[in-house]
Amino acid sequence: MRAILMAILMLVLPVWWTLSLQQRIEGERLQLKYGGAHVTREMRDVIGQGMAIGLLAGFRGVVADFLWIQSHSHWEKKEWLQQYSDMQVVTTLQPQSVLFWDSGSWHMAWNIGYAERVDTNNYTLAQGIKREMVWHERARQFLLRGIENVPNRYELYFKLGWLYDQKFKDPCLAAEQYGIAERFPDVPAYVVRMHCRKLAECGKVAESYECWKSIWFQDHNKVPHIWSIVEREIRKLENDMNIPEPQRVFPKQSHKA
Amino acid sequence: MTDARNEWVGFSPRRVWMIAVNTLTESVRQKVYLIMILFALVLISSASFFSQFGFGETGGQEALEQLKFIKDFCLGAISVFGMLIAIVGTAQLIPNELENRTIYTILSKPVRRFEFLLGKYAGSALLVLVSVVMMSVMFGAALKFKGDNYLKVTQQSVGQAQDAGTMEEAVRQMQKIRAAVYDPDLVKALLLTFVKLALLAAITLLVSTFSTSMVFNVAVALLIFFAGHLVGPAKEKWAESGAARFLLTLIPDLSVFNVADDVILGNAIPWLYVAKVVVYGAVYLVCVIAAAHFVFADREI
Repeated sequence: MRAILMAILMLVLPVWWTLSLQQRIEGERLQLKYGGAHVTREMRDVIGQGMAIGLLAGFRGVVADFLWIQSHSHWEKKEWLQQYSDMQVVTTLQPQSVLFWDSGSWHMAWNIGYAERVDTNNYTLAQGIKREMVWHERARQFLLRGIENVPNRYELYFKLGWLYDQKFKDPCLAAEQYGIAERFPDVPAYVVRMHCRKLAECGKVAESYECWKSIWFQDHNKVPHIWSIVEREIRKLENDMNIPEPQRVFPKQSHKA
Repeated sequence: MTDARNEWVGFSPRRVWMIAVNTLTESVRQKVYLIMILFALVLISSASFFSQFGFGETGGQEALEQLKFIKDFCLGAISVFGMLIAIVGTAQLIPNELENRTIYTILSKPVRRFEFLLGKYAGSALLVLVSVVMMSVMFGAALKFKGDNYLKVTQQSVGQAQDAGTMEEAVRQMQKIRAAVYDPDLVKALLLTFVKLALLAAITLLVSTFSTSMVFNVAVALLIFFAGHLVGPAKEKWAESGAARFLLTLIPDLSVFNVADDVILGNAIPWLYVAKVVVYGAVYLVCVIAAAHFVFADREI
């Protein structure tokens, strides 16, 4: 009997020993945003029993992947709302996945949006365009939610900028997002160039000129830019803005700086 | 019945090691284990051929999605088969010894019950370690195989690039693929998976010290495995109740060992976090083994 009591005591001991450690681990997990949303009854209804068991056993990634594949099969069957619903669940399961936010918004804005526009059930072209715009807005909301969850990566800011640029045709909002994206150290060089270009399209020509100049005055051997493009843009802006000859990076007479 | 306190007198690590090695050898020779590990290895190696399981995108995105799928799938398979090997491999240790009456031969020699128990556990933990290492090697090979294929294709697109922009994007894609394939954080995910499985094996051993049925041992261990993954949400649900939180702390929170998803998503996993979780697992492990020792020392054989 005493041995049994000792055994029970041994099982209770970790409660005291690990309580503070466990709280610290939980705190750290929250801070580092590990995991994702817990399984709720609504989620279980969407994902089905098998996947719910997988989730309960800790296979969040695998379940999210299979749901993503399932969402793609909905796309093939033109079941766009089911696809949208699956994408919502997948991003709830893995809110830290840039891949899901990125591909999901792309599906909505480009694939589903276009499919809605050219749907033969539309009475008029205007109806198709209106339906397409609904999906553009969904994609925008989706990306904004993605940015809330993954604010520390450049990708989603860039994708939102790209969406504003390509689908909303708003260079000012696009420039704003590219501007945020370019602050990240691992951002590709083309995002910085796109920021400069959209600033000019937005009417902020002076800012754009400064932007291009800031690129040009970087070390050409260290920063992987396509320098011919940068030179071309600076020359164009200097002509458009009538920059006085001595202040130009590329004076009219010269071909090279 | 023996006095648990006297078990420490003349304790021999050598005897523990001998029992551990013997347990490992016995387990490896069992058909159940061989089938499970073979199935696991085939499944993991075939992950690289699941090209139809892509998410349907094209271009560079496809490569990253495929690699994510392979990593999710393989790490999931390591966890599932590791769990099965840990539970089934440990659940039968003591019942088998009792059924075959070999335990009498061993304990009639100068072998303490604690040495026997510890040796059995060490053998089981070694079995889990060997299995995890084998599956990890296969996983690494599958990932490298697929990653190299994508790198080759992307390399070709760099060569065929018409303009500097396309080339820049392709080079960047190659960097992303390399980072996804040669991710050192995967080691942390595998390490924590092993600690979780070792803890699960210890819990199974504890159950088998007071039960005689292997089916019962497996069922209880599986239930604890599922309960362990639900501890986190349950604590959040009953956060206000101190008693509920206390009872929930009795079950180790196994979800803290799951960092595989976060590694795959590219989240940084600090070594300090890994160390804390390893200590957390080790404390539970020691306490569970100690509890198993007290139960086993008191058991009529």
